[in-house]
Amino acid sequence: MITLSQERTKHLLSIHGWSGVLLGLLLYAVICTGTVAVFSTEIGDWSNPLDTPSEAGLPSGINTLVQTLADQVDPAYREEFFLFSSAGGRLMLQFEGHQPASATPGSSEPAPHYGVLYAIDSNRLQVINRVEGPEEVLDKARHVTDALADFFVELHVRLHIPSPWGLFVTGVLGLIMMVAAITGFLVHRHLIRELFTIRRHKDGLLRARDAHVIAGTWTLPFAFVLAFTGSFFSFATSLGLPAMAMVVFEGDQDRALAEVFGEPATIEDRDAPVANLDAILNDAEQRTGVRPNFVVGGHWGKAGAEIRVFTPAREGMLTGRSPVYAAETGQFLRDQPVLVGQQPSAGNTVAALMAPLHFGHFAGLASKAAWFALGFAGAYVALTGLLLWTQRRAAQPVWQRMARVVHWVGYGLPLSMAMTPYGTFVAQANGWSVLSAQWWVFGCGVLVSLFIACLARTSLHIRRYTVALTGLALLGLPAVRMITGGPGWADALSTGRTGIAAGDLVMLSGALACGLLCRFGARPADQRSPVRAASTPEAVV
Amino acid sequence: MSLAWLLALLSALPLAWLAWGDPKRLRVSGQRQRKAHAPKTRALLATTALLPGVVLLFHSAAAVLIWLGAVTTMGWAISEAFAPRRPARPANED
Repeated sequence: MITLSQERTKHLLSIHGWSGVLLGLLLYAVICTGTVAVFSTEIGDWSNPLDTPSEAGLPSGINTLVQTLADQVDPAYREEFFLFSSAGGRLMLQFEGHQPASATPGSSEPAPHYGVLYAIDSNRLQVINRVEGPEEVLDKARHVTDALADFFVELHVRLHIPSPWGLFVTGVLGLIMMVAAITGFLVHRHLIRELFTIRRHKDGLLRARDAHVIAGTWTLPFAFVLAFTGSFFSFATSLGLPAMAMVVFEGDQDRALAEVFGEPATIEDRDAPVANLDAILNDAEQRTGVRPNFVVGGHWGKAGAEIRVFTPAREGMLTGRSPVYAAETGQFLRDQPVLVGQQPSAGNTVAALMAPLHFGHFAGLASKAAWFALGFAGAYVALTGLLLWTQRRAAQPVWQRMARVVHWVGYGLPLSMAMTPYGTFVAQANGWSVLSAQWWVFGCGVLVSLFIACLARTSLHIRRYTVALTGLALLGLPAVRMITGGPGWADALSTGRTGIAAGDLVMLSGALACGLLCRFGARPADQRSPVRAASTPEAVV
Repeated sequence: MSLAWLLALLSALPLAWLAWGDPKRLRVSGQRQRKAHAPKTRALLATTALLPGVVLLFHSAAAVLIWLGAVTTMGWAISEAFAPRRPARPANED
């Protein structure tokens, strides 16, 4: 217990409440989408599968195909190349370079980034799609392949606000979450003594307070860690690196990048064959004990070029490794730190820990399940905090309206998210633009919930109707996925694609949970008018 | 890494017992007739709940993180599950 004067407690409580309530709804949206994005790989495999199961890591036997495709690529696009896994076990191979600089006299426009992106069936080792064009076209093609997962990830990372502003917003939200976590810790007088105290049988305000405080107390350390690491990711590239370049390197971002991420390889002016990629991947697997999942290199076919291989974390470890090879000979050169510099350092160790601590992807489904649960708890804390704040001020009309807005976003966002895959499936089946379709359907969910929030008599009605609709949306997803050409359970299981059936079961479980919440949760009959909402028993979630 | 989840489930047992006899929980839910855990019992149960995490420290940091994440959310779930829906008898506000 931390002893604070009454005055100081009051101040801290004000900071805690206002920091949450001002941007709390956006914070709730970021946490909700982040919770779902923990399973982004599985969502990609579920929503856009191939006919055969996907392997963990890059498949073997890809050397011939990659070398053939590299030969076909315009030499101008061989400045950089990337090889990585995507939705449903697709392998993405991207070559990038610069188009000649603008011919307009006096133009200072930088040369546009251009390239070619191949989507490859990793089991059959066949090209299934090829896209050529500027960087934006390649980005879009990558997003289309993994459309549903990317939709949630983008919503989480930048709320779909253009860069760098979206990153600034989510970075600030992370800071606000940290402030709320710290002040919440300081003002809670009986942290340990009340660890199991939820007075659900008492009046609505006390019950709402306990629901918020107890969930917050249990998940406090992780709330802080997730907020800190999230802020780090938002600000590191959008603000940290440019600021460092400005202060230390007189605005030269290339020099700053070279200092942070290591000097690029010295390229000679002669052509050289590229070593066998399979041999490089096998060597990396032998050295690190894990099959690599990402390959990056520069100046394909030039002497002096290097190939860098990334492997995920080994069993029991938090971070992966990144061996570097000579592209010409395939000889192992060094084990490069995953993020910062070319030598092992404390800075790299700390920076490399940010990703596993934020994404929770270091031990497959076991760690993802834990991080999903923590994210769910975080969303619960954010929502109950907002509901508690509005409930305490329910006598004032402005806060009554705010309570409706909180219910709209609080329960409408999960509804909109549950509806989004309908857009994905229908658009994929009909060859429509998947990205637009997802937005349309998500927007419909937002409008439906807004309609309910405006017309429903009480906040409990809003909750009941939106939760019921969310349950229905989740219930229908497996059927719609199959109707629109997705594999059935028998087909998926017989071909080893167990993730598809598991994904459907998760949707059905979600529907069941919504049904139970409607059946056993507080009923609108308990709450006769919006004004009485503050003084009558009201379940918070 | 299923070991971490297994040990988290193991930690949940003493946690649930701890919650069951938690004096404050019993007091506010009006179950004063039920005997609350003595301080020594509570300390013992808390130590038992933490023990799997200490064991995992010798296994790997990844396992400890998973265990910690799982235990904290399970602790919250236990608090919710044991929250009284209606008082056993009229109780005073604590």
